[in-house]
Amino acid sequence: MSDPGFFSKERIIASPGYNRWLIPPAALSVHLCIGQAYAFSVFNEPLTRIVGVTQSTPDDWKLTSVGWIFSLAIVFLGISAAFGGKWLEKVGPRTTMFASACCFGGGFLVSALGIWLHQIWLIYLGYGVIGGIGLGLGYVSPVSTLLKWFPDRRGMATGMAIMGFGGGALIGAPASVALMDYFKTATSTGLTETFLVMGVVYFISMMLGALTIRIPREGWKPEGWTPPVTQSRMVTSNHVHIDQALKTPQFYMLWLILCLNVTAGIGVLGQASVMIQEMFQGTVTALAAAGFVGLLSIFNMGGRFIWASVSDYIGRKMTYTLFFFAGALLYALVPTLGQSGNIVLFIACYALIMSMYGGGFSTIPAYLADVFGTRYVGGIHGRLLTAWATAGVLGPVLVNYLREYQIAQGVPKADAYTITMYIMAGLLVLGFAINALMHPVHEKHHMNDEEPNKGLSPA
Amino acid sequence: MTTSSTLIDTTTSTSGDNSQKVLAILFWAYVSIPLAWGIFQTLKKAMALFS
Repeated sequence: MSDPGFFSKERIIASPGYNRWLIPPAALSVHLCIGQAYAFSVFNEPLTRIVGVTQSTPDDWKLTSVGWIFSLAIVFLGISAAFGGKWLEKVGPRTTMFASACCFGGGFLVSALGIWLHQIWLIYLGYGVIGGIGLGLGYVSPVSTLLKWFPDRRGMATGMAIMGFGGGALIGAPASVALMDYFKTATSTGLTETFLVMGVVYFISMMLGALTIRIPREGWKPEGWTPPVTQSRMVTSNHVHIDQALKTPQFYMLWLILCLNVTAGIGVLGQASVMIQEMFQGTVTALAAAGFVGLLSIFNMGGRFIWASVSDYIGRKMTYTLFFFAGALLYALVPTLGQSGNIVLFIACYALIMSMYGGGFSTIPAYLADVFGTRYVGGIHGRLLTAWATAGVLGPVLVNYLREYQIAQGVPKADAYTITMYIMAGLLVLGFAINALMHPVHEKHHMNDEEPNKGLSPA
Repeated sequence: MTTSSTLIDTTTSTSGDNSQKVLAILFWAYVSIPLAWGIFQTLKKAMALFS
């Protein structure tokens, strides 16, 4: 039999005694890079003055054209996660991480060429399409591997990786600004050089993850750990095939659970800066509002790790019950706190909401593993991420439309958020009901031990 | 070629040998230091909210 290739699954089966604590930083080295996408807005304004350098000229790109770059990247994230998840199960995490590093790093390099030649289509292709594919592949690539290495702490393991996606923007935003400052001259914004450096650095960093990642041997267990004899009814020891999962109601219920949680969170996150300035007029400046958004990013990131870890103890269903129940209360409370003028409670309330928004992302892979088993959870997770792409459109549209409608009806700007927040709370109540109806997958969907893997080999 | 089916011992140490421990510490530092820097930069900006 020929030697397996360097990137093949067979080559990355861990040797006995492999330190499983090498896997989370390998996952983080990918997620911290691709999380830069959330900080792409720092490039928007400089991209509109590449020709004029100090200010925008008629030959420069308009902000509306530049805005498409991020939108394209998110669309391709959703598409590649949905389709790449199944490929991941076939080829393993190292190949997927390598492809992700090539796409994400390469996307920056193609975009650098686009900036240098002042051809926006090259940036659409580079960061939007190629980079977007890198985002999707990178997002799903370490999740199932982490679940297999940490059967005793599934939530904590995926929480660590997905926390990285939230943290990537915290590194990406100041690093981008620092690089642009370093490379800018009297005749250049320094964007080309910034994109080149970021592309190379991100590629190298993601490759470190790809080279370190290992999959455990079949039947491997952490030392001293035995699967609990009596475990929650919601945690299965069976496996559901990636294609069979789509035939279960549980997949669509979890899709809705993620979609509703993200729609509500993304909607209020997008308007956080304007909202705090309008609710506390004269108290909160634009600069302070930017600081508020930064603070929310930290809670969004922290919530990803903390809530997912908490779910290991209270269960996934209970965690989402808490997200939806407490979330609905907090969303409904925000307008009252704004009207009362209590800014500290307002910030605390918003911070808690954002932590649960982040927690929704990081707890879902463990929820999927509980319901469908760990064998194909990477691919199933990829397909479920279409809920994120849908919510990414729904949330902001819903919030902006409702706000404009109310202002047009003569509602004062500071009060225009009240109904919006109540509707968001309503979405969470709907999520609460769907989560309450979650039940184990019928055994007819379980794979038999003799069943072929339909072209996929379990990692 | 080593495959999973040929391995008998399925329960092993989760922390590996010393070289792997050092590698794990270095790798954790590699991902944690930039993250801590990013959090610090963001918190500095957030201070404007309380000043």
